[in-house]
Amino acid sequence: MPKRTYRSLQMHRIPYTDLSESQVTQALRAGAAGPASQSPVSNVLSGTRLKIVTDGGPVLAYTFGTAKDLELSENGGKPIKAAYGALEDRSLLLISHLVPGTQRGYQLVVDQHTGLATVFEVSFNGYAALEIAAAAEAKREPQFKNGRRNREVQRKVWFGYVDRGGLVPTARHTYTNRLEGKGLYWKQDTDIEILEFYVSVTFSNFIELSRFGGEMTVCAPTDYLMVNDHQFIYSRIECEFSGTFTLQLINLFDMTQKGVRLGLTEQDVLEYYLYTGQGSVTGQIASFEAFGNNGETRGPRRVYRPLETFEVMTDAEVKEQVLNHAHAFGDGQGSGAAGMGGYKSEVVTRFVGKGLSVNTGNDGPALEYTFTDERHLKWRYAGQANWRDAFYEMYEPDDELYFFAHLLDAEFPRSCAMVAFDMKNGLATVVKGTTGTPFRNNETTPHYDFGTFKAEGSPTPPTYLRHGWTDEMVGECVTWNYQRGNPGLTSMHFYATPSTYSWIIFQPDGSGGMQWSSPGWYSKLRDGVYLMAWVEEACNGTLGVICFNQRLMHDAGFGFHVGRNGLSLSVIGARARHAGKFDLKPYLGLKA
Amino acid sequence: MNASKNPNSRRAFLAQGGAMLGAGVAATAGAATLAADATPSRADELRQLRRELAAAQDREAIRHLQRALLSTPADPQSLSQPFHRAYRPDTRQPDTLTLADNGHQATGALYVSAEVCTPLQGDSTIATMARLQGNVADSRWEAGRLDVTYLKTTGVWRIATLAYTRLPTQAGSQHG
Repeated sequence: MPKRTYRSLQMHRIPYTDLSESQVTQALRAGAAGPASQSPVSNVLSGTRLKIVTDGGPVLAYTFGTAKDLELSENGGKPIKAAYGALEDRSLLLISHLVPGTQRGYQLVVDQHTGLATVFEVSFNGYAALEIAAAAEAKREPQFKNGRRNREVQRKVWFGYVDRGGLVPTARHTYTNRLEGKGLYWKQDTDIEILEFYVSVTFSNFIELSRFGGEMTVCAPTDYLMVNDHQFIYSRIECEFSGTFTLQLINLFDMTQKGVRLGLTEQDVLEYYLYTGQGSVTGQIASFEAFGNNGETRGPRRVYRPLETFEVMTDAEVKEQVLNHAHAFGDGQGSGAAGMGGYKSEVVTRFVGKGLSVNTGNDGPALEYTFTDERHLKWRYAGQANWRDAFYEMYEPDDELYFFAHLLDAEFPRSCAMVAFDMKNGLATVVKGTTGTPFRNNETTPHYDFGTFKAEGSPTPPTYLRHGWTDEMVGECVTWNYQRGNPGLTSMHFYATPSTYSWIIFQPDGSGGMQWSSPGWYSKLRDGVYLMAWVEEACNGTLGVICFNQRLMHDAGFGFHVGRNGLSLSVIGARARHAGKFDLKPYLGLKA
Repeated sequence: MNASKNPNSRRAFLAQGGAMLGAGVAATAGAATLAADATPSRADELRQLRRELAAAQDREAIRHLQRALLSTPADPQSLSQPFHRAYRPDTRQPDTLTLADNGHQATGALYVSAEVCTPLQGDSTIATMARLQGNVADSRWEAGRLDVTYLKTTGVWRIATLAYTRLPTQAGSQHG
């Protein structure tokens, strides 16, 4: 078990500084020396000239002095001196430099064999202008809720070739989906260990093992480009976080990476270095495009910005919603059919007119129920006299395994109870969801209690055995189709670690599109039947809890959410397909 | 004809500015029908040629509008009712276009395959993300006819009205 460095704040909770343009400019001055590198840089360019012509983009004429110094003429302009670094991957060259005195730079991939080149023109201080332009086009006000994001690297991708004075090649590097579905582990020359997952054609996941302890996966908009069948260009920008840019050459013959990382750390210090890494494949899951669709025309790489769009409510605002605008299951009329409950099963009526008592031990809740009808119940804490009325819905995700939910007392913060109980062994698990986290009032927090129950016809529960945490789902990828339609409302869950998961939204052509991630919790109810919970932290705050039956490839679950439109408890019911599994446990260390 | 009206097609198109797509189209002279003249003078011939040229320019300007109409996708994020996301020309029936004598109005019919989309409902995160990507709950293609009236003001043709009629699918035909 390698040593892990956990962090008190995960990436989505770090309050990255909203730097001014001048602060960014100041931080970038250190980049004038070029990128650092633990590994030897290439000197193949020393004393050479290189002219790169791009389609609709810049013409870059380079004169290289040594392995560190170059002169660049942009579009025939006056030559400027810069420091650079280069790494080689077989015939590919990765060249990186900034343009001194500016907030710009170039990251180039040049194929010395084919003469093709791809240019990533990168810049800082560019987000605000893009947002203003986008807002003008959409006839809305520009939004800078989380600042002007000057620290976030912007990139333009230019496809082109090396002008050798002869025929202009017609081929170009292309966007691709040929990496889609692949998971890789990397150990870099900086001693950084990282897991990367390419489960989309416009986003990627990564798990920072050495810098964040490997608890959570996070997502970033990503470009995937194909050089040939075994060499690819991967590039992501950690939007919504530090804004750091990463570009790497991936060689699937040698299982190596050659990359550059450019950005500002959470201490607002420039991080600009080349790196090399050795990797291994952790798995390959399915992709869902039609055969023959290779992703060359993937469309725009949109950036999902949950931190920007999430509306943080005040205590008073949340209190008003949870006390006066709380609705469970459409106030007893049913819910979810048009949303995430399009495939909900029949509600269970077996217990109508009967009672249930759930005991989760000394520290957990003890709850007593009488099920009035299929949508109304009475509940109370054990030992109390007064019964409360509540709407509920109950489902049977596996044979004689039941799952129901209802709101608890009208107080602030407000909670709900989601109860799974197994008529075959007397075990019960209560997930209590409560509004609020230490970070945002309109997020939610789950609390698990494993216990037992008694009901008419229930067996004597075991003395010591309980439902419990599991890592059996780690690495699994499962698609969830919530409604009819293709792709309609369909996502893929990627259960990345025992404490996190990610969801991927399919694009109309079946490729993976936008994705995001959150903390997640996994418990086992039976073999192949799991209770999985997540909270969409820094996103929309929802607590989702599903009971996933891998034999049925179906779930039954509930969503608990508070926002401007009130507090809601609603049903989740979807149909699943298995997309594959990554073998991650060797890299994650301790079992849950 | 056993046809049904879809009231959302026009609203969806107008909502994205389709009616304003005539901006930038070159101003043209009014159109007129040819009058039979067995012995036209050179001046008459010149006027006739000018009228023909003007009519041709008008038709080209209107075709420009039509192309824009058929190629401008709707934005599903802003819609709550079924809408037309795309049209494809249906070449099995010829489109019609009639220029009015006054040179400022025209009417026509475009036969199309229309992609009818049902927007995704709900404010869940995944629904929001899916809408951002342009996803819809469901889509299907159907045969239809766009009845369009055109108006030329200050020398620029614009779409004045647009109505969609779903047509019964012909046996053995496929759309999309």
